[in-house]
Amino acid sequence: MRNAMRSTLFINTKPPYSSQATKESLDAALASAAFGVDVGLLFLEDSVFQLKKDQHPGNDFKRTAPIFQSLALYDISKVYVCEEDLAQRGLTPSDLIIEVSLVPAKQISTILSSFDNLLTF
Amino acid sequence: MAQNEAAEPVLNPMIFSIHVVTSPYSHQSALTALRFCQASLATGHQIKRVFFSGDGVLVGTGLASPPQDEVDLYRAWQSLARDQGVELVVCISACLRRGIINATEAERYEKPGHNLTDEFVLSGLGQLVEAGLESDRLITFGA
Repeated sequence: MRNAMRSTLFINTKPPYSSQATKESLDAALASAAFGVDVGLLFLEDSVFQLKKDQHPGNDFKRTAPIFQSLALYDISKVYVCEEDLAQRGLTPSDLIIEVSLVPAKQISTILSSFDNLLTF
Repeated sequence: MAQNEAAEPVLNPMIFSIHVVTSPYSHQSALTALRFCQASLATGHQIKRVFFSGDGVLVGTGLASPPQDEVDLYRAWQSLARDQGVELVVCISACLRRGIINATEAERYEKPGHNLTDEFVLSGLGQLVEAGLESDRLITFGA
């Protein structure tokens, strides 16, 4: 397994603007993609707000929308969002800034086991 | 397991890398990460690298003096590096945000002092990615 092409799933759990988690997770994901790692992103709980359209962070936080929108340039196309967590917060896929795959909570474990490495932010 | 408990070596040693994201003394996971490393080495596993990011980098300071009757996380990590050769890497961007710097960065940013102990290496996220690629398991503590 070692040294072979590895895949990493970045598991996000935190809302934007309460910490640097959004930026740190994205930085690590882009760095991994630059190393040729097969990267996936998973959004759970309040982290689904990271993907919401029409955010205006002002000067206190870096705008992450352009980074999310450029994920395709880094060959990052696997973006998963927990269906229930999104619905609980009154959001639908059309509220999100990028196209995502909705995953029912019961199938999250299947996603987790399909990656070699998991990194949680 | 107790720190000094003698452990039987395992039959299938693994290479672990550790990712610590929580500040010392804020969460149990900061201590658990240390104990995991000590237990792994005691049972014949390898620790390829410990990567500290986010608030985890605060453990790199050489200016902390915890009470003598408490666990000294700073000294414990330092001795793991010194005595057992474990590579400790702190994320440079997380460090610069939090004022954990070595002499080189102090000079670069014209700061009046520096506090990162010699056992820690300042480097970038590539070190975390590489650790994930070259280890059997990459384990995050504190997320």
